[in-house]
Amino acid sequence: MFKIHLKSAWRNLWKSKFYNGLSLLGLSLGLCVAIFIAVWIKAELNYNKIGDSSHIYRVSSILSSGENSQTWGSSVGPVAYYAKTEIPEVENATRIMDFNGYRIFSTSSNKFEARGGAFIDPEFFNVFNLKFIDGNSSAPFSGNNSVIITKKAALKYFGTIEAMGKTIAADYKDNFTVTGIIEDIPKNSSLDYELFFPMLIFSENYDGTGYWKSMNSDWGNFNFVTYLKLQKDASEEKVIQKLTKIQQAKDPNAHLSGEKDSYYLQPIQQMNLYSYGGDPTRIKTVRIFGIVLVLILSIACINYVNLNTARSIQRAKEVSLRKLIGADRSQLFIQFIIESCIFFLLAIVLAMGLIYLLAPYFNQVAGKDIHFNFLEPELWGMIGVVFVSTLVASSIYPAVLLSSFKPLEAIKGNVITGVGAGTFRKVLVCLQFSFSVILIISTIIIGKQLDFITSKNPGYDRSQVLNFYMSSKMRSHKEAIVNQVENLPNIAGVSFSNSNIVNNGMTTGDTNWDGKDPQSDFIVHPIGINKDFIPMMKMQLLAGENFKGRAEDSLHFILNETAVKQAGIKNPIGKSFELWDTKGIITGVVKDFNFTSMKNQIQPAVMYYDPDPYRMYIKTTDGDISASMVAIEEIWNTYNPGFPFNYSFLDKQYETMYRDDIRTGKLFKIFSILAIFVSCLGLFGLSTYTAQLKKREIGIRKVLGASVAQITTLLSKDFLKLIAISCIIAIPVGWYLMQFWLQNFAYKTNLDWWVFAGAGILTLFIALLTISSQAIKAAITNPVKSLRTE
Amino acid sequence: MIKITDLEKFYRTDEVQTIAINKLSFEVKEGEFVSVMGPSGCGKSTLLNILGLLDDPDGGSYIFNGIEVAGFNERKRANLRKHNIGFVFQSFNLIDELSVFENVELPLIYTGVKPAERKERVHEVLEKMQIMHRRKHFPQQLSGGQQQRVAVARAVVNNPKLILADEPTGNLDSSNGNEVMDLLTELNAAGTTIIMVTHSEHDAKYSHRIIRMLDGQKVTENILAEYQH
Repeated sequence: MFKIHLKSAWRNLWKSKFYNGLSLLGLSLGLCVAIFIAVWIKAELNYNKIGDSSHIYRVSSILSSGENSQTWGSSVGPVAYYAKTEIPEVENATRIMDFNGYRIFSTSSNKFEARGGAFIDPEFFNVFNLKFIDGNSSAPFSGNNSVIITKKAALKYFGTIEAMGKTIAADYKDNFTVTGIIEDIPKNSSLDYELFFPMLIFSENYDGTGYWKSMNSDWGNFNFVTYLKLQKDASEEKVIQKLTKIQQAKDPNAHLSGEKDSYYLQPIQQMNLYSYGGDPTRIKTVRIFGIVLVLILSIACINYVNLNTARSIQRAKEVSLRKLIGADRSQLFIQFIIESCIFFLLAIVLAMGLIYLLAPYFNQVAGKDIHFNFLEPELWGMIGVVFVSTLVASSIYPAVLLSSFKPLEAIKGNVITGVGAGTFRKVLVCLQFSFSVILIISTIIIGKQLDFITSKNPGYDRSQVLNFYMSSKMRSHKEAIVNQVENLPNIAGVSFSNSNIVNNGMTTGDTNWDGKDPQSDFIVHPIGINKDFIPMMKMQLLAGENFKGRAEDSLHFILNETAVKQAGIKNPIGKSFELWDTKGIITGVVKDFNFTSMKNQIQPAVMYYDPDPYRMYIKTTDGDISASMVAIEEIWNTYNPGFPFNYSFLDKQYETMYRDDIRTGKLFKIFSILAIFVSCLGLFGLSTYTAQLKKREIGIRKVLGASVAQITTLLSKDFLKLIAISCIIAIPVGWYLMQFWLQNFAYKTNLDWWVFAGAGILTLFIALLTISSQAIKAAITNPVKSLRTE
Repeated sequence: MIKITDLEKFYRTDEVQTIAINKLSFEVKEGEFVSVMGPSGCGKSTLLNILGLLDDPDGGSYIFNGIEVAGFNERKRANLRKHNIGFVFQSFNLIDELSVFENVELPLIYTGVKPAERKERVHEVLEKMQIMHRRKHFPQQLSGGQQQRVAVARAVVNNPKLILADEPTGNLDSSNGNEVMDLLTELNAAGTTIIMVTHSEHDAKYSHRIIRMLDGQKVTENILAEYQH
């Protein structure tokens, strides 16, 4: 029986090539996109899945409380130390810190930009259960000149994983011997490093002469990301309470200022989806993409259901005959389910072909590195879930409907397709177009928000400004370098800062001023600049004056509006202000500017005079700057030989900050176009079919004098009504979803009425184009022909 | 084999009720060949549908093989139908997507006959209908007469006790029509009961008895001379 069902299904598919082709195309596209989204979601949810990571937490530090409270993903050195030694619930702890300060890593035959290095405690490998290919996991480092590398790094640096005992040089002077090789760490993780250096190197910076005597007693510098591995039954709350208690007891500043610092333990698998404090961030996008997945699959399934049920009249005779010669309803039901299975299998094969072809493009747009290995059971599991859910959702109703025909009526051509089958189809069309309109609205709003943040004036001019880090060697020739650069063509100015103006992560609570409340939780971003920085960046001084480049500037501070407001300093110019150990006065107030992502509110900033900042900013003019860029590189090579010219433009850095959002926007655009395309495929099929069914009616109307316009209206108006209803349904849903997404941003675009009206009109227009082609074709057909063929 | 008594069937729309069969009674014995004649709309097809267990009467009694079947639900009717009744239609009603062999095989599939036996029985009946050489063809590739022979083959492959034929020669030329009538006569001679609805006096002459209907009622019943005892 199965064989004959297969044959019959295949022949039926072949018989209606046009409609089945439309359905198949829509379904394959839908399945392809759904699998892409499912894989994307899975990658997001699989972040930091390293060994048994379910009991590993990152320690977030909550500084102060109330309005000024800030949560950082970094923590101070003593947290890991005391957590491990004094909290029994903590099984193990490790710190990790970016290995900065070097520019080049080299071997005897290769050199690379110094990236992917980290300082770690030796416990690191045990906490994350990282496997050693070579070396000793319990004593990984042999001393300060030791490095552990990943398999990938071994291949990169030495061309072989037989790298034990070999040497990597940092900046051609400091040599590190490989004492261990570990398996690669997944890219999709916060530990995506390839070279691991002993924390001991960093801890030796503490020689007992500074304010903080040792790394394990330095409660002031939040240099580390700390990971705690808790006992399986440990309570996170208890660990937090104990950590807070330890901080209160051990941190000398806690006694002085009564600071109310606390901690949050974030499961490491949530680090990419939630903020340092556990508030939902990227998880919102993941949820929205989950919704998009369901919407796109629904749109594709609705096409299948609609085209199948609309054409059921053509199957009526066959169904009736089968019933007459003995088929019962269950046999027919199974037959139609088998047909759907074959159809869906075909669609999934096509979808997989599309996935194979489009995977590189998808990875590029989504910024992922997902390998679609069709031999991987997990991928098949996902394809299976998508396949089965779609099949069940879209095959049962047509099968029930088709198997329910009364043979007598059907054989005579009087098909009654069940109560409300037409209405059901209309509801589905409405749903389908509602989903499309929601996606269009989302695309427009996301695009509008991205435009808003990329075109909003951040309070400084970031156009045509390149910047780079200057090594101490370069800084010793600063004047000569500035002179040479300023004399190049198309250079508008040169200035310096010790901070990245686009995304400044440095903060301090070490401030004071007359009348400061001792309980104040004032936290400020310090930005060291030279005298040329404010004018070159076209920042607006609201009061006071800029630095003059004189010695007395070292006692002057320029605050931003928010800092003045939050500090509560009235008439700030000339008032005293203290930053770290420097007591000085406020000499200027600068208009607020965005020095972090627009997802955050502008925070207090204080600009202090730094005569020797390490980041050079060069502003170019509108002309061709290629010759100047070559010349700047030559200057770099003169004063910094052997090191690659590593620069970036502020515009690019700014874009990079919103990279994920820009990617989300691009993906949404693609999904919306696909959704409306697939919906229109269905609509095209339905309108073609309606025109065919009404061929005789159209012929009679034309004979009686109906115009082409009247016939076109007759065939289009019902569909257009449905699309209009879809718009009415979709607009509030789209508004709600986008309101939800925009919560990610402190500065957001307006949800203007025209976006919603535009999305509706656009959809109506596209639908009209789709339907009218068939309607006009039917309307201009010679009525004699249509009456005769009928 | 068949006994109907005071059989009634109405068709209702919102405002009008039409009587299709009005208190109709007759009997058909096993092995009989009966023609039902009458003008269009007299209720012939409705009667055939009720006899074929495709439709339920609104009143009266229908005894098939000694069992009262009026009031049977669809599942019971389908079950009885597939084992006992074969249909032949004016428009052949073959399934276009299936080959000759597969069309004839279908009733055996639905009654759960095993593949090897199915093949044997289909071949046997196709031989008998002289259509074996066309077994791999599709209905559209056959002439009208050949299609009707396939339809008859399909109707008899399950060895039904009763064949209901609805104007079986209506779409055929006279020579093909005669061939089909000869086939039905042979089947009847082999013991199958046949009830045939027809407009053709010529075809009706192949049967033993003619029931003439008007407005849902039986008006006359003639036993053809050669069958009078």
